[in-house]
Amino acid sequence: MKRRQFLELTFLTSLTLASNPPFIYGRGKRETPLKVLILGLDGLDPNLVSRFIKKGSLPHFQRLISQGGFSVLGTSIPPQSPVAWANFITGMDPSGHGIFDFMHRDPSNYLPVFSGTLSEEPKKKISLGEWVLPLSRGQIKLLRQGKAFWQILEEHDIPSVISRMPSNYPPAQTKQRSLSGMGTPDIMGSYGIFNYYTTESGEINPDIGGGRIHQVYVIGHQVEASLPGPVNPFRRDRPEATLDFKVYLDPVYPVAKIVIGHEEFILKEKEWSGWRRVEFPLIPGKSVRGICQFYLKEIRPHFKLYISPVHIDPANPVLPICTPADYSRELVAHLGLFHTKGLPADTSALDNNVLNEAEFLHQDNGFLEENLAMLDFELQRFHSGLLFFYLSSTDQRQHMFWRFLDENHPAYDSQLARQFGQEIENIYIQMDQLIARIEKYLDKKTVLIIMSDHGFNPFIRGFNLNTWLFETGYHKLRNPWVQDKGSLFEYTDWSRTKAYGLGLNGLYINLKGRESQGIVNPGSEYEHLVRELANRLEAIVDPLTGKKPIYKAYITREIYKGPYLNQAPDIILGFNWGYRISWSSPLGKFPSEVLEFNRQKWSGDHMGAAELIPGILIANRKIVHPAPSLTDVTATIFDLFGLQIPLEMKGRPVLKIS
Amino acid sequence: MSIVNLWLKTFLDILFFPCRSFSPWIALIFISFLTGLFLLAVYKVFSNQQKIKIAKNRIKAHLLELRLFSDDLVISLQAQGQLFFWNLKYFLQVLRPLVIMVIPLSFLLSHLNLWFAWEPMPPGERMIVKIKLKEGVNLQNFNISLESTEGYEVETPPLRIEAEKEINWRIKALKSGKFEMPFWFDNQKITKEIIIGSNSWQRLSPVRPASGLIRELLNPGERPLSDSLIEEIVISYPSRRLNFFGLKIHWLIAYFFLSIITGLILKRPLKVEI
Amino acid sequence: MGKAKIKIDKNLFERIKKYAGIAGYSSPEEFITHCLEKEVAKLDEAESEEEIKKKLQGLGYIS
Repeated sequence: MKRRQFLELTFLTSLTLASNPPFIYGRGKRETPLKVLILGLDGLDPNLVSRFIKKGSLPHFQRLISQGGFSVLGTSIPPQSPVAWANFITGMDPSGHGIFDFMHRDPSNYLPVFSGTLSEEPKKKISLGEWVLPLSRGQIKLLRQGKAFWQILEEHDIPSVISRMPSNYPPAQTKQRSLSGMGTPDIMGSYGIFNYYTTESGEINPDIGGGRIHQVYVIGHQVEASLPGPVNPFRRDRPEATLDFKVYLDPVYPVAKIVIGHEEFILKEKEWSGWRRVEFPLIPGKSVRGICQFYLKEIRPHFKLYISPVHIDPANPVLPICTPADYSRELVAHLGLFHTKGLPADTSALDNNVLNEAEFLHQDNGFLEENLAMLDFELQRFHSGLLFFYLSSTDQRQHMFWRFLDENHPAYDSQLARQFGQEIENIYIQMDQLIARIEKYLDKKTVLIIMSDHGFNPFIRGFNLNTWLFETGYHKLRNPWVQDKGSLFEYTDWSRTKAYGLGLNGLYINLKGRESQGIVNPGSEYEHLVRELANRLEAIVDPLTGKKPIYKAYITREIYKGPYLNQAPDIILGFNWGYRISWSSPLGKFPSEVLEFNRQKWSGDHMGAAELIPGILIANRKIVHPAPSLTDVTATIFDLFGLQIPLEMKGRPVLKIS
Repeated sequence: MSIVNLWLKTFLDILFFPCRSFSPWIALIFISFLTGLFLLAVYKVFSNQQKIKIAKNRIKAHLLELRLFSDDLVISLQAQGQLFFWNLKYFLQVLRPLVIMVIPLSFLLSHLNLWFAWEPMPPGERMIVKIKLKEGVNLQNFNISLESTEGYEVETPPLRIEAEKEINWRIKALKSGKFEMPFWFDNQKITKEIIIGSNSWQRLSPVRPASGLIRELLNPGERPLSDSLIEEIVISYPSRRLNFFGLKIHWLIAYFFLSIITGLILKRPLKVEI
Repeated sequence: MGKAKIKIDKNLFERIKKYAGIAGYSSPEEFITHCLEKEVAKLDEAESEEEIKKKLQGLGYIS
C-alpha cells in the first residue's frame, strides 16, 4: 500500500462503496436449550475485582461468583485489546488471525498501518478538470483472518447478536445481528479527532494528538468557524470537506446559539448538545453525514467550544458498521442516535486539557448509558442462542484515572485525587449494578459469562525502544545530531539498520527480502540477531528503580506457529509492572532518554507481559478448567451449544454444564 | 383575511375531526379526493366545456395529420402551425378555471400545511422559540420575557441576536397538550399557541405573524399580532414526513398526486372535459 | 492546462540549460518542471506522514 493510500484511510473508499455489504436475510433461528449471555468488559482487572469485593463494593459480583465461578483469564501476547478480542473471536492465537498489535507496519516503506482494516480506493477514475469521478467501487476489508464464532453458530442455525465486538470492523459477513466496535473509525477515517475552538491564544497548540485546536475570534457577538470533515476524493487536490458554522452569543447572558448545516440549537455555558447531525458536502448531490456532540465550555472571558470526533451516523451509515445492513437504523428507530466510533471516550481531549476530568466523565457516562439502553433492548428480545455485549468504559477510565490510585505516580495530583480518586472503583461499582440490572432477564437456562481481555497496571515509566536500538547500534540514523527530531524513521539510514520498533509491543528485524531495504540475511544471521536482542532487552535494568523494564521478550517464532506468522513482529515486548512502551517510540521517534517518566493523564495501561496482567472470567456456572484463557471461552461457547469445537481452535471448554 | 382564515380553519377542523385518531394518510386521501372533486367542479363551471372539447379534438386531428402526411413537407408544416394554434386556444380555455382555482387553493394549501408539515414536540424534547423584531427596533432595549407553564419549561435566558433581529429561548416540552406561551414586555402580554404531544396528529401553528396580507396568507394558524414591533413569533417544530412504504415523503407531493389521480378517475363519470 | 511564468536568476538559468541538455531533457522548462514536481511530491509525502500520525494518535496510546 502506498503512503498516499494509507493516508486517506478507510473513509475515502466508502464514498463509492455500497453503503453496506450485501447480505441474505434469515439469521439463525434454532431454539437452543441454553442461552449464552456474554458481557465483555474491557480491561476489567481480577486484582481490582477481588480488592473491591473484599471492601464490599461489589455485592452482585460477589453473589454471582459464589453461585458460579471466578478465575483469572489468560490474555493474548501482546495483551492489547484488538489482539485479545481477536483471540476470543476466532479461538486462535495471533498467528491464526493475523492481528498482532493496534498497528502493523508496511515493510515496503516502514510506515505504520492499521492492523485490522485495509481500505482501497476505486481503481478506475476519470478526471474532469478539478474533479475526479470514480468508475468502480472502493473496498474496505477486515484484515482479521479466520471465522468468527458467530459465523460458525450461524452455520448451525443458532441465533446470535454481537454488539460492539472489537477487531470486527468492517463487520464479518453474517446474517446475524452485529455492530462493529473498537476499530470503527470516525468520519475522518481516524481513531478519533476532536475539534476545539478557542479565543485564548495560549491554548493554541498545533502539535497535539487526536485533536485540532482552532483560534477563533468573537466579532459582534458572533463566532464564525468551520468544522473539518473527511478528505474530498472527488476533487483532484483532495482538500478536506468542511462545514461552516456560526455561534451567536448573547451580549450579557452566558448562552449561545449554534447554527451548523440544518441544525440550530441553544446551549448555556457548560452544556452538552447531545448528538447533532452534520453533513459535509462533497459534490452537488453527494455529501457525507455524521453525528457529533458540542460542548460549550466557556463563553466569557474566553470563548471555548469543543466538538467531539464526528461519528458515522448510525441512521445513515456512510461506512459498513453493522450486519444486516439495516441493523443500526433499527436501533436508532428504537433508541435514538448513538455513538459508532470505537472507543468513544475522548481520552485525547482529557490528556490535552481540552476537557477536564468531570467533563470527560460526563461524556463517557453518556456513552455508557447509550450502551446500557442498547443492551436492555437486545435482552428484551433475547430468547435463544447467544448475545455478546461489549463495554469500553472500564478500560478507558482505568487508562485515565489510574494516576489517582498511587501517590507516587508522576501524574498524581492530590487535589484532583480527592475529587476523582474513586472513579476506577466507581466504574467497577457501575458494572456491579449492571449485573443487578440484567438479572431480571436471566432464567435457569441462561449461562452468564463476564469476561475481560486483559487486566491493568500502572504506567509510570516509558521505554523508548527505538532510542535503545539506536544507542546499542542496531538502528542507525543518517544524521544523529537530530536524533530527537522527526518521526516515522525520518532520519533512519536503512542501509545500516538491523532492527526497528513500531507499534506498542513490536520489534522488527530489517530483514532482507521482506523489508524493502532489509540488510539482515534470513537464516542463522536472523536467528542469532533475534536471540541476541531478546537477551539484551530482558537484561536491561532501569537505573532509577533497579527493576527490569522488560519482563519478557517473546520471540514470536517460538511462541506462534500459525499461517500469519510472517506478518508478526519478530519480538514482542512484554513489559514489567509499571512499565510500557514510551509515548513516541511506537511511531518511529528517538527521544533522548531510553527510559522516561510518564506524566500524562493516561496513566494506567496493559502492555505488560501476558503473565502479569491476565483478564477475568466470571460465570454463573462452575469453572472447571484451572487456568482458562481467551480461546477457552470460545471453545466453551461451542460446548454449551453442544457443537463440536472446530479443529483450528485451540481452546478447551471451561464451564460445567449442569 | 382573518375571516377567510377562520372559516377555513373551522371547516378543516370539522372535516378532519373524525380522522384525528388515525394516520394522517386517511385525512390526506380524504382531502385530496375532495380537492380533486373541487377542481373538476371548477373546471366544469368556469370553462367552456364545448370549446375545450373542440380544441382537444382539433389537436388530436392535427397530430394524426402529422403522422399520416409525414412525407409531405407542406402539409406537415401546416399541421404544426395548426397544432400550435389549437394548443394556444386550449390553454386560453383552461386558463380561466386555473386562475379561479389558484385563490382558494392557495388558502387551502397554507391551511393544510399546518396539519401535515409539522409534528408536535414530544415531552422531554427541546426546541427553540424565536421572536423576530421589525427593522429599526433596538434589541438591547427591548425587554421581553417568556414564562414557563405546566406544558413546557423555559431553560435559557433570552438570547439576543442583533444580526438576525431575533430573541431566542430554548424550551423543554414537559406535558402533552395545547398551551399558551405568555410573553411579557412593557407590561403587555402577547401569546403564542404551542402544542406538545407524542405520536399525535393535529393542526400546528409554527408561526404567529404580524398583520399583513402575505404574512397572514402564509401563516394562517393564529390571529395576527397587533403589536407593531414584532414581526413574528416562531416555534421550531420538527418537520413531518409521511411514511410511504419506508420512504419519507413531503405531504405536498402525496397531495398533488392523489388530487390528480382523483381528477383523472372522476372526469369521465362526472363528464368533465379537462 | 494554464501556464504561469516565474522569474529565475540568469546565471542559474544558464546552468540549468547546460545540464538539461546533458541529462537528456528536451528543454530547460521540462527539466525545471521535473525538478519542482519531485520536490513538491516530497513535501506532499511529508504532509501525509503528519496526517498518519494524527489519525493514529486518536487512539490514545501514542503521541
